[in-house]
Amino acid sequence: MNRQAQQAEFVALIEPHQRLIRKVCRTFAFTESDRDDLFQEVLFQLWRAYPRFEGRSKVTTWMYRIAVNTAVTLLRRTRRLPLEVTLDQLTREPHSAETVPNDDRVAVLDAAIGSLAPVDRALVLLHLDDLSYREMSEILGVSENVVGVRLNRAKARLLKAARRER
Amino acid sequence: MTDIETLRQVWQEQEGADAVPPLMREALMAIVEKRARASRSRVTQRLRRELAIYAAMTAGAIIVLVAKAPSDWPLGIALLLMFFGATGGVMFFKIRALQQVQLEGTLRDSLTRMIGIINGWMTSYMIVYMVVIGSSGALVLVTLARKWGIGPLWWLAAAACVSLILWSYTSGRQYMRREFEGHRDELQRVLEDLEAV
Repeated sequence: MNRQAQQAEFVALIEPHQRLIRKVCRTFAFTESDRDDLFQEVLFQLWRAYPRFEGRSKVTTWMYRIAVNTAVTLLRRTRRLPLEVTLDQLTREPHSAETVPNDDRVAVLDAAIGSLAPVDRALVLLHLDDLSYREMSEILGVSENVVGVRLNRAKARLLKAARRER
Repeated sequence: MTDIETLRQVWQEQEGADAVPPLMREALMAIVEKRARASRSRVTQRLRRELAIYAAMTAGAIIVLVAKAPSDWPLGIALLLMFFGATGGVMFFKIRALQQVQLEGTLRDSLTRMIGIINGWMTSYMIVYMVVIGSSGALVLVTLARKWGIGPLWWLAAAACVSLILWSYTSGRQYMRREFEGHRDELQRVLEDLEAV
């Protein structure tokens, strides 16, 4: 397969799920510039891993794994790059201010998630996105039982933090 | 906002409200290319920095060789260059492994792999660093012994070499702590947290 065809195939694979990457960025980075940086790094890691993707797991599971792994293990050591290519350039239409709801509840939720430890953050993200215990277990590498126990604790911590933030 | 379903609703409303325009292939590949270039450049920059440190460390040994053993210095420098080649090779592969860690496994696998790579890099760094210092010191002492014999001056030089080696070990450990231990410890804490029930 030539390079252009491979690139087109890659874009077609991740395009329908790009919201997933944005949600991981929203969970693990808290400034626009950090989110852009993480978004770009996740795209890069997905592209690097793409030749080895054989479709054994669901595309979304594969993408969650790489995005969460990048956020947790890699971002800290990655030197910040000047964002010459920003998210606005990446997309056909820039975000308009009207499309971003100005809602205190969103700020409370983001702050509550931000107060959690990385593993709890990952669990909460996957839970809020309606993933099953089995999928969470495939992404995190722990048993479904452990996912259940840990998720209950993470939810309790999230609720406590949300009440504190209100 | 006091139950998880409300939080989930807020989360999903926010996600639904955000317009997510389609990705453009050219812009996406430009990002990928830029990140790839940056990753390669980090490998070469770090390698250059490490080799410059070693070059500075062996400069003393080369000066002593040229000054005190004019007939032997080509051999001494050839040995040092050979050593530099081996050092550069080890460093290159270790630094590249750190930059090219694969992240498509589970979080647990990725954390374990990353911690292993950082530990491997730290061990290799300390070994290479101490061997460079040790062999430079040994080269100086052998050269001086052949010129002066083993007398008070030689013992003074030997004491200076030992002090330099001890100082180098301490500074090497400090460099490791500053550059890698913090990140390694942070990953270790996340891994322990992930495994804790």
